[in-house]
Amino acid sequence: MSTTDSGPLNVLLRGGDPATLDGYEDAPPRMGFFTDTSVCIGCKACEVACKEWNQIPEDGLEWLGRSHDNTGGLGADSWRHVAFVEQRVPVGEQDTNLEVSRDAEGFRWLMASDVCKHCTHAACLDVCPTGSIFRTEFGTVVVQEDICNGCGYCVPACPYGVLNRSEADGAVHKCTLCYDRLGVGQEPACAKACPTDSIQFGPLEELRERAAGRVELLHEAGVPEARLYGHDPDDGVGGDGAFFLLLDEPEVYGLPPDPVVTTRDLPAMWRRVAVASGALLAGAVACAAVGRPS
Amino acid sequence: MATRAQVNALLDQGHSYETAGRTLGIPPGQAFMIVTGLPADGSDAPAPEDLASRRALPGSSQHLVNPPAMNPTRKASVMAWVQGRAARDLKGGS
Amino acid sequence: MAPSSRWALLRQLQGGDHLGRGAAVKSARSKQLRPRTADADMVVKSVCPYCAVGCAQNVYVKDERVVQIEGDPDAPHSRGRLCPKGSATLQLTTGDAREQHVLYRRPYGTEWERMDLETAMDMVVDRVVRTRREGFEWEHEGKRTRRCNAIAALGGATLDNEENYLIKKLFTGLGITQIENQARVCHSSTVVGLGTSFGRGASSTLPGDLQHSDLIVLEGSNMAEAHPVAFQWVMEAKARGATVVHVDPHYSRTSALADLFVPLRAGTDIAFLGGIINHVLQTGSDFREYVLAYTNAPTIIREEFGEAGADGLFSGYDPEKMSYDPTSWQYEDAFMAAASGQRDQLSAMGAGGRGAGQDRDEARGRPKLDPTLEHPRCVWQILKRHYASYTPEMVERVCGIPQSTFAEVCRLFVENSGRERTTAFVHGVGWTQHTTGSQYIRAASILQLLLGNMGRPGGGVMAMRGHASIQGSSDIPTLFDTLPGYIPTPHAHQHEDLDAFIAADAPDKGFWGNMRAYTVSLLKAWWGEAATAENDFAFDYLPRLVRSQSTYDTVMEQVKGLVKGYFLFGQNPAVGSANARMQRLGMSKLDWLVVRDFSLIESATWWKDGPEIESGEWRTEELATEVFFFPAAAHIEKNGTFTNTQRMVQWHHKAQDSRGDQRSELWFMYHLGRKIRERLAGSTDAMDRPVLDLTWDYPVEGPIDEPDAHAVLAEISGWNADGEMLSTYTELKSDGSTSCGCWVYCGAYADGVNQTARRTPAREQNWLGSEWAWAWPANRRILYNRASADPEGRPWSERKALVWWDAENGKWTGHDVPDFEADKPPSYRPPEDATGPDAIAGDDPFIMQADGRGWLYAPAGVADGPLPTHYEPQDSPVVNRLYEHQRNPARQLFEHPDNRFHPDPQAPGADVFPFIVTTYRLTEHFTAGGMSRWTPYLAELQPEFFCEVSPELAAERGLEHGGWATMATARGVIEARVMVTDRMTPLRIDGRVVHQIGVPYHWGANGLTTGDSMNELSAMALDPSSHIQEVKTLSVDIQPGRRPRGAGRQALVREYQQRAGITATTGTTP
Repeated sequence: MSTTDSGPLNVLLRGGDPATLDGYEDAPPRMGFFTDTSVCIGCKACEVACKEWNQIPEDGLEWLGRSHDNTGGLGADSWRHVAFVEQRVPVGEQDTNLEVSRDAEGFRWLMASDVCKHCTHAACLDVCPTGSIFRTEFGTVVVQEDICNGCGYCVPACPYGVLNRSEADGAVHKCTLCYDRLGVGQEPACAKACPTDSIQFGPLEELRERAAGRVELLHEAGVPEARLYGHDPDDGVGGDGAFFLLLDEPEVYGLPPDPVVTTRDLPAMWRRVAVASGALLAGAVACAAVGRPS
Repeated sequence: MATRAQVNALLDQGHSYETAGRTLGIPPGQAFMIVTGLPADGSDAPAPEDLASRRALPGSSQHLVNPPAMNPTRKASVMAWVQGRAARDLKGGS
Repeated sequence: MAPSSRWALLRQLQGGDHLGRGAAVKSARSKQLRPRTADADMVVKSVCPYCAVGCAQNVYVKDERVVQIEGDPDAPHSRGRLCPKGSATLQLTTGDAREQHVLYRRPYGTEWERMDLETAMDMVVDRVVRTRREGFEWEHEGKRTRRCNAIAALGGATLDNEENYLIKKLFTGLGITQIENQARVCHSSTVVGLGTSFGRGASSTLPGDLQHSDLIVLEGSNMAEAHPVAFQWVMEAKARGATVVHVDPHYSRTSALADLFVPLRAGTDIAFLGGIINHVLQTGSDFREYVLAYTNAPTIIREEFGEAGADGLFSGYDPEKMSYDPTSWQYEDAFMAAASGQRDQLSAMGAGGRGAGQDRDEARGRPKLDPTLEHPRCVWQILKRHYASYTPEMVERVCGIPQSTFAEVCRLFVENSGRERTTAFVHGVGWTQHTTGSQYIRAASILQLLLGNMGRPGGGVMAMRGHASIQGSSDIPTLFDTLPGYIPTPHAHQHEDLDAFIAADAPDKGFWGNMRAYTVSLLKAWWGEAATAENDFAFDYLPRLVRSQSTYDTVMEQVKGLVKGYFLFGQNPAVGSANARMQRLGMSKLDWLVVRDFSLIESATWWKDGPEIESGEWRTEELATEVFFFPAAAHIEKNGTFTNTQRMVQWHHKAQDSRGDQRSELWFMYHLGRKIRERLAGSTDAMDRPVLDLTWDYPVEGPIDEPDAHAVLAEISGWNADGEMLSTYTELKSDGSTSCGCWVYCGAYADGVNQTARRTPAREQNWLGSEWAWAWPANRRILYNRASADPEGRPWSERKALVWWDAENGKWTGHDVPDFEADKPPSYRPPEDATGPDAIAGDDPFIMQADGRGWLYAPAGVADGPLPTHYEPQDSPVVNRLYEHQRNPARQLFEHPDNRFHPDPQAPGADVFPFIVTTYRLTEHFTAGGMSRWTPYLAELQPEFFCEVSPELAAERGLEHGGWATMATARGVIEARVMVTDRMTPLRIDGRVVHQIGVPYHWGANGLTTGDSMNELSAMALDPSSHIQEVKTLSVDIQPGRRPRGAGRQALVREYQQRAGITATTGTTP
């Protein structure tokens, strides 16, 4: 079953450490990513470092013309994806002088590295029938490639659209938060490479504190648009293990504004099924009792 | 695996990250990460005060995750060769 | 107790994971998962092979093969981070794209053939020996030259210092002077500009020091894309409250992180910087005490000097030769030789058999100073008059920068300079690659001197160089005009001995005053026991120059059929050099070509599938050039050093063997030299003495006889007669008792320790990281740091303290190694007749300069004027509003039907090329693409060649986003995908709208991602001091649609030429 809003399990689970709740005794602190897009320089070191570490194949020499984004989105062969958004609005007090001969309030170029969110309430984990997708002792969500049978149930389950199946082997692949590296205390490849420390790795609790401080600083510096995304344990997925600082609405970056774990309503649906089945059964019994020939 | 409290307890007893890790059955780098919140080979730049309060090592910590490092800075055979060159090229008088 | 059953279901039931979502379903594989880094046999310390930031790399080796490459977190300068290219190093070096076998193309051959390595080497030896013999020149117009003009070499900034050293040593011994590399086409202007202003032509500071800047001005630089890991220090500064300004024609990823972006017209930075200089002078905002004590502001210039009036010409101009006689620019009653740049200027003009000032008996004199700065001919007044016309109105008119924005920039400079605050410039090739490139750097230097930012923390001029070891390939130069350590290559003069050479070319005061010691030590390193006091230390063995032999001069000689053999060492001129067509034309006239690289770059395959084959102009079967392709070893397969952009020399260790025929350049050059010497052994021909007498006995190791790079570095670093390794260049002697292959690297192997391999972690030292590797000179990290203290030796402020005088202990001390004699007190004043370092006073921070001062005005060293002056680029649609001379009167041009120039802006036909192209780099690719277009992880990030245009230009020309466009100049036509973006903005120039087009230059026809090369459009028009090409701004036409194929391509070029009325003389007036 799932960790939902209405189930009794959820009362327990809300605020609980996912690793502990998923059966790990003596679990280490939950680890995650805080991606501060306000310092991202759009270099895509994260994309390359991830591919090199995980030996992911190159997945398409196609010019998309989407500003400098030729990766397109997350997928089985792109576990980090840098988005580029050019907008005719200023950011903070930055002065760009680009509005010389056009009607615009200003200009800004938003750059952001996207990744699997390692949700607290992970729908992919909920629906995986084989036990391939599992919660690690670090609180991360990982696809065990030796088990995944490529059924694809997880693909539509993810509210962020992170998952799809690889054309090469039919299985699902995604960010593991470098589970193998964490095991020996090494930093995930993308976070290690990031030249400006936009991708920060550490205990989730600490990252959330740091992020709150950073938003405050930006607000004081005249960047009121700065906000956190995926940081809130009360949101529809129970907060993300990989959360972000954005400079605009999530939709601008291609992120869902209010993601909800897609298995949230399952218990309620099953209860209705149970009620309906019960009613049907009762009705059938009633018919059988009433409709007996005399 | 281990909790932060478990590793800290061993550090308090005077263990190093290497021996604490061995005792708990986890790699020393993981023990380091659990306590400090920092990866042993991280590219972040915490302030020196922050490092100390986290129980990070004063200098480098990447040896906790790496195999032995190869970085020799001396080579006796080259110095011998230099001696030969100097004797031939310079000692004969200028 | 944790459940341990193999059955997940049992674990689920028995353990704490009842839902079967975590511990219970962890597979055996997951439980045993370990990263390959932890399971490797060893980790080898190395350095990234891409750009000049020189990020430290950890290379993990398992079973003798490299399995992972990532950043080294202990490095002070990179902190474990890597950009996308550095992150792709594993794929670059261990992926499938690298060739493993020698390939050979016979004359007129249509295909490559395999050939074994030994045979190929022997064939190359044959050709070198034969071609040299046939093309050897003993004299030119009665003067001894002793050189071979028939062979040339290009490359390489991607090579180790030890490799460049052997290339220069062997080829010089063979009499070859046409030796060049990427440093020529990249930052040669920096060497001239910084060298003449301050005394050394390298970056004065390090990226890590930018964290202390209060204002950072990035100009002529796309630092966030070209040097992402160094950019972290700009972000640090920002986090501490610094202001970041980006000035550029093109809004890039760097601009996105700047507080202020200033779009300007490409090619107008001198007008912009001149405007700021004018502002500082007019408002008295200079750091007066610094200016008076540390610059030549008070120095009086001789009466003959004629300032640049309305025509824009200084005194001494010869319109026939399009060059200057700089004699009249000199100081009054004193002759100053420059520390860098053109140092044989007087001789080069053929001023008799001996240049002026050669006679040491003639007093070089002492400069006359006016500390009141009122003398009409003092530098201060000359500077004021020169920049008086660079008003805010003029800046707006010429550069397209609104006056309010310009005022803001000026305000920022002034408020962030002085005792308490410092400003840094960061620049790249956006400044250097112009026909006035050296003067761009000079202009920035002047401003930094006026504001007192040189030698101070958070100040300086941070020259961001491009390749892993391009600083090294400038220092240990595979360049024609310098010997190791920036000793000028001697020119051909009558009866010039070593003493005469030193007298003519060396400043006699300052540390260049010891040039004899540096030169003799070099000659001893190269010719050992054959170099004696009796034979002038074999000075006669050095081939002499007659004129410029820059790479572009060489290309012209190739086109004329005078160069028969050519070596390319990791350089790709068919894509990376200006006028790609001329590059290929030159190669098509060669007898033989040797290409060493990872993959089959365009410079190796032009005979098979280059544009001239595609168009049908040439037929492969009719091309005679014999081509040898030797696959090169990667940096993980070699021991050696790279010198990064902050002068830091880092050793990288060999981690694995190369495959097949792949060899290092060290191996190639050493064995080439060995075989040539064996072939010539016993020769009695005097021509062969220099190569036979070379010291060429390096120890070799292993099954392939790899030379020991440690030995080469030791030779570079230097030793004394007792075989003790020297510690610093002050130990070098003129009497032949010391040997040193490059005096500025003296000390790299001090105490028998490979200082370049030191790896003290960042956390154990201060921000300068002085115990990580080794920097030249003498491990000083911030140059001219004496200037961080006042004349009495106290820091100008506590906040900006760097080094200071410790009176109690009688020495200089501080955070950095003092760039000054450690025990020379501030109060020291030199005696009248002092020479060399003794002539440097205790308050002269610029110790390489002849007068110990920073040069606001350059009396020597810069060929086109003592002060930067705005001229329009060679191809420009805009009239020069500052002077009558449209273009640099002293620029260097080449006449050839394939190198035509565009009309003057007011001539008929000028409107044929109404737009401006500015070239730039993308972070995903690397220079001419040899290390990125074949690398899948990089190729997929930027898979197509595109151009960037504003929505306004797109509307005007009917260009569609995602569609195609054709760009045309008088040299060529290319096509590119179109990106319409707000980031390209139209500018108002001189009352009308001017459009700029951004064009990245990484593409060529070969590799995984292919496209036309931008350099099909560019021309060979050079800066006269640095010989660098102008590729940062050219005029162009752009039309929607793809370009013609086949013969139609050149037909279109000719059509454009006709429409614009272009002839051989177009654009060539002085």
